Amino acid sequence: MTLTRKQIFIRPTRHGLLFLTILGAMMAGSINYNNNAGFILVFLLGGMALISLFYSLHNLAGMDFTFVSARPVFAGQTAAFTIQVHAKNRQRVAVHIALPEQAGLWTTIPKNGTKTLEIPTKTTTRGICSPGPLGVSSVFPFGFFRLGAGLCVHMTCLVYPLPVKGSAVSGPGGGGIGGSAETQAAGPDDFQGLSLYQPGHDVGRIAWKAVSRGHGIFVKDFTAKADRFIMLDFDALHSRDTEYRLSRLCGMLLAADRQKQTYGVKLPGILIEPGSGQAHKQKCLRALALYNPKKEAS
Amino acid sequence: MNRDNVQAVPVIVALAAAIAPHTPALPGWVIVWCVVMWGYVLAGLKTGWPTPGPILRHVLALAGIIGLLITFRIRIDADAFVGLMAVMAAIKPFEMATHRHRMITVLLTYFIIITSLFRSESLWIVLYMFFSVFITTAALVRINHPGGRYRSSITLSGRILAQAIPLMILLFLLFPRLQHGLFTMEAPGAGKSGFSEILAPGSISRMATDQSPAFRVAFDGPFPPTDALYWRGIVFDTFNGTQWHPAKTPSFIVPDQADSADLVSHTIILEPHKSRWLFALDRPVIGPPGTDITTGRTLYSRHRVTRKKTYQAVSRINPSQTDLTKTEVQSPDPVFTGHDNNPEARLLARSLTRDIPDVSKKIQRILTYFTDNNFTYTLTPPRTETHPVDAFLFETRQGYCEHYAGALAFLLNVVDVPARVVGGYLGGERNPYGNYLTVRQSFAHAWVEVFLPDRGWTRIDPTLAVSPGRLARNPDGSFSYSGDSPAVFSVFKKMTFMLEAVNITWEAWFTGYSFSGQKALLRQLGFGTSWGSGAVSILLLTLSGLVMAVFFWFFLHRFEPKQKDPVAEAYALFCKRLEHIGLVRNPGQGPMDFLAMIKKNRPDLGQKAGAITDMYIQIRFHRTCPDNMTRQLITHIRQFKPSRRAGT
Repeated sequence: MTLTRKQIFIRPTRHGLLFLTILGAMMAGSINYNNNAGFILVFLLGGMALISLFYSLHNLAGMDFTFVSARPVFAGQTAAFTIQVHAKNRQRVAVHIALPEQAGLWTTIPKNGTKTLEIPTKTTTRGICSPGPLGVSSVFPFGFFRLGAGLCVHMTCLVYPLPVKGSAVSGPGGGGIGGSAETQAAGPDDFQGLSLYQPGHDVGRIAWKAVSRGHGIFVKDFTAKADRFIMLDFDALHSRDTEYRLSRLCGMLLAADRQKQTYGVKLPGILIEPGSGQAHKQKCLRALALYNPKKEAS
Repeated sequence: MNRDNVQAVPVIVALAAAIAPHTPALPGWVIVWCVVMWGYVLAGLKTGWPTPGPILRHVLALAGIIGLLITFRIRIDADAFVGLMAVMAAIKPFEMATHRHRMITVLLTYFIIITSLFRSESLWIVLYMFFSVFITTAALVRINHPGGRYRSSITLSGRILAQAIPLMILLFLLFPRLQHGLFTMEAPGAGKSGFSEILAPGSISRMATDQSPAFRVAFDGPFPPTDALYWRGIVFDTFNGTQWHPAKTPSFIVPDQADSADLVSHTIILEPHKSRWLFALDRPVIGPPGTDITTGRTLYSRHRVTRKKTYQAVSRINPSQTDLTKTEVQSPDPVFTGHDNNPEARLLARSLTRDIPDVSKKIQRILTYFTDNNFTYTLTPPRTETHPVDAFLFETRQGYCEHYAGALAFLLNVVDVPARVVGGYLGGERNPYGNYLTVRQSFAHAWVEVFLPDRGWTRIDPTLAVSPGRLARNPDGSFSYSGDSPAVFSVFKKMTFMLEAVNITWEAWFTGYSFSGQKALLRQLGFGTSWGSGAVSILLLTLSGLVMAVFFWFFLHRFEPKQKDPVAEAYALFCKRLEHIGLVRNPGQGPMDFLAMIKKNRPDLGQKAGAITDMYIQIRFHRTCPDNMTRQLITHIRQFKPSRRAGT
């Protein structure tokens, strides 16, 4: 998204107001004493401040912002939105880029250069975090005027629920859903054999002996007994607070993942079959993050 | 010291540059103080010396203020103010760790720059001001661009400064000036006092070695003769036994401005002397606005001259009876000289002029007394205490002009001849490179005016009776103004004359540019020839606003991103022409779809429009296309003039 001149606001900074006050005092002195050299200085400084405004405008206008990505975070963590900033035609000096109510960062981009920046923002609630407009501003070159604009760059970041620890409460793992003895899920219990490594497999399960023998990369397969998977069941938690329940599920999910257990997620209207691994974990967390009780209820 | 202190370097340089013009007026210890403090900060960048904490900073500030109080006592004047600024500016870099402090220091620096302009408006000071603004602005840019290069800050500062100069010049010319100040306060660095308002032995001879200029004079016409270069300033017409004084409260007259051939118009650039007397060629007829003419025929300003003042005066160098006002025709009473002082001088006056009825002869008799009795002219007369006239006439017989003038006026008044002492300057040094004279403090002079029944007040210079050479030579030995003097100037002297001439030409125009100058400028441009001051002010203000608006507009367009896409422009023209005949391209419609629409509605245009569209698509979407394609497209589109009706 390109920053155009029409979007840019101009306001004096505190130092700019102080400068104007000093200029006014100089003017009053020059008028009173009819000091022509004083007039020269006042008009020179005033003219320079005025011209600096156009340099400021020039410094910002035409900058281009593109949203790249944002890594999902847990609620309460700082999300970092990766953006690419392109300095078209000229150098852009001391530009401040920030999201609403955040500290932001300063950058200077060489002529026709592109910089990849991570703009931080604090997250509070789970779901899709879509921060407010991207605040781009600069006081360059004199620091008397702040020029800037709020750019509505479409940026999103997935925010998982805040994990809350607690004793694992499993759903009716043995019975009910998928409880048959034949169900197999990759789990840490009984070694069954080796299978070819594929990206996404747990690195901890790589059969290093096989690797060292030069047979290639294999992972050890384990069989978890079907009744040993955990079903993270929304309804099994005795709380009326949906967010709390999701946070507990999130905590249990992370614990299960750490212990390399097989787990599934059951939310009202949503069922994720038991599984394990990074992809599975992310899928489950995503479901927790995006769960909308009203929508599911209807 | 932390890394932020590196940022303090440009600010310190700017501060030092801004304070430099004040150094002659600052006490020596303040300069040492500045050098030490700044040196410490700069050295600390290398050595890592600690920055003084807040307590030490306050102690330093207090020490500086106490030092100033000791130096200046309770004299709170402009120099003390500048001293305070320098003392504070010296310790300011100790607390420049934050951006805010640095910004405030830079703003303070701008303020210090203007104070130097109140000290002097000479060409050199004004040129230096530009340099100082340039340095300070570079520092300002630098602190607003952390990590930037000095080179780019300096370039940007110079560019912005250069771009602001046209606006500055126009506003300088047009911004309406007040004819008088709003309020009066001592301007910073107002000059030292020159002429004192007391005439007593020693009051003028103390200036005999002071080579600083009192004022400079440019003549509108030819230079008057050397023996006419009497610069009238103060008339002393009261005597208290030891000293001559001017009248306590001056009263004013309006002289008749009779046309006369011997009127001399001249422009004077007067150095500030903190008094209200204005000097002019003897005897002024017309003074500048804001000035009155006293009954003693001197120019008296309504304001004290605390800044260099440029004014015009018209004088009559050979005053005659026709010039006198009614009150001046009547013979005034002689000055009351008291009864008991200087008894021997009184006796002498009576004995010298006994049996001489004619006033002119009486004067002649007394002057002859000076020449016949070994009186000498000296720059360093001995000091006398009581009865100064007696002491001068009978003991020392050595004196400077004030001794002779004072004694002559005393003696004449004792014998009932009205006489007064006039203080001013005599002579002038001509600058060979500029058409003007410099009158130095050492040229200070006093002479006598006597009232002759047939001629009115007439100048008698008793000094010339003793030292006839004074007229042609200034007390410093330089020749009074004669352009073809045999003196051969040294190279240094020539340079000095030349630089001074440049500066004086500048100052005469620059410091003298005022409301009347603005009116003259407007008249030359053909505005407001018969307008009142108010209307002229409003016109000037309007023009100033207009200049700013034009300037703003100019820069707004200068920085406008230029449309440099001839292909897009050409295609837009193509669409516009089709729009005229009713074929409107939808906002989202691609060129191919648009072409299809054209072909459907106006088959006759299909071929031409097709060619244009093909070219447009080739330029826009194909990686390779012939270089001249753009030109071809533009030509085709220019020639594409669809008619409203389908042609055959």
